[in-house]
Amino acid sequence: MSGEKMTVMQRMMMVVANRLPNCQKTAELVSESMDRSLPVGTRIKVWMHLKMCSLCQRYADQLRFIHIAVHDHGDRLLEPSEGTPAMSNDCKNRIKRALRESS
Amino acid sequence: MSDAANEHDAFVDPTAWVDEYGDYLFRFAMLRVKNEELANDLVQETFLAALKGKETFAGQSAPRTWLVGILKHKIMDHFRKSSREVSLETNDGGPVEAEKLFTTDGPMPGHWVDGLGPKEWGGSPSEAIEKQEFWHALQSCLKTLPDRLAQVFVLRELDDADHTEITQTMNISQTNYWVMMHRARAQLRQCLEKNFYQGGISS
Repeated sequence: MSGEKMTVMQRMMMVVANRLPNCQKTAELVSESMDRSLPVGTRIKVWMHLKMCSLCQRYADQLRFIHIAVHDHGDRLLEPSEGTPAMSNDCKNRIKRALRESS
Repeated sequence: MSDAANEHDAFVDPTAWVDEYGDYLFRFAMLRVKNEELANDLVQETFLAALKGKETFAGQSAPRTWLVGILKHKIMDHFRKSSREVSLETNDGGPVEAEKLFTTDGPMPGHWVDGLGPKEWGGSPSEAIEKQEFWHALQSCLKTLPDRLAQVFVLRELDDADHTEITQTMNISQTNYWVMMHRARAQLRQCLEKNFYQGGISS
């Protein structure tokens, strides 16, 4: 009977879903996967969760983007800007004095 | 000034380093220690060490790269020392923003709390990276992270340190490291979403 089959299918889906990490755990694992490769089983579970959950997929994409931005273009964080404090002239003079004294 | 020209200056008059590289090194330190006085001290130590080791610098790299290398060591030393002092306290740093994002009760705990799930960011990532405003937002978001989270994040993502080196330097356990990186990334992501993508400056 197809009805019975569906029940079996549904039950199987339930078993699979219950064994997958929840969103919080998935978010943690997505972060961890950016620092080391996860065991194959875990990787598959995360992949399955991401396939079924658009929020977590979006989260993973955005985290990867932040990683690329900071890791590959992080020099831009060192550009002078209004918000960043500069070294005071007093301090520069102090350092120059120290350099003269020890040279 | 070209690198070659000021390389010459530097060896004639080391105080020229201060005008040429002081601000850059200071910003570099501030991103990592967030304390002006400490950043000043670290930069001063860097210049003094550079003066002492002048002979070892045979121009294999640009002077700024050489100085940054010295400063990096000074910063790591500082982390190592200060981590020893705080190692008995909780060392994951501050309130846990990342945990508020997920439900704790109901039939299925651990799901995104309504309204706190990641939103569509719009625009292409490469466009965002081109924008000055993106970097300003990222900079101010880094400042909102608890100190230790920011330090671990910067060591990993900006300085490309591997997790073993970071756990040793910061005196944290492996498990603590994964937790801290997760929290730092979650909080940064949320902050960027609020300050850049929803502030109307992304488009």
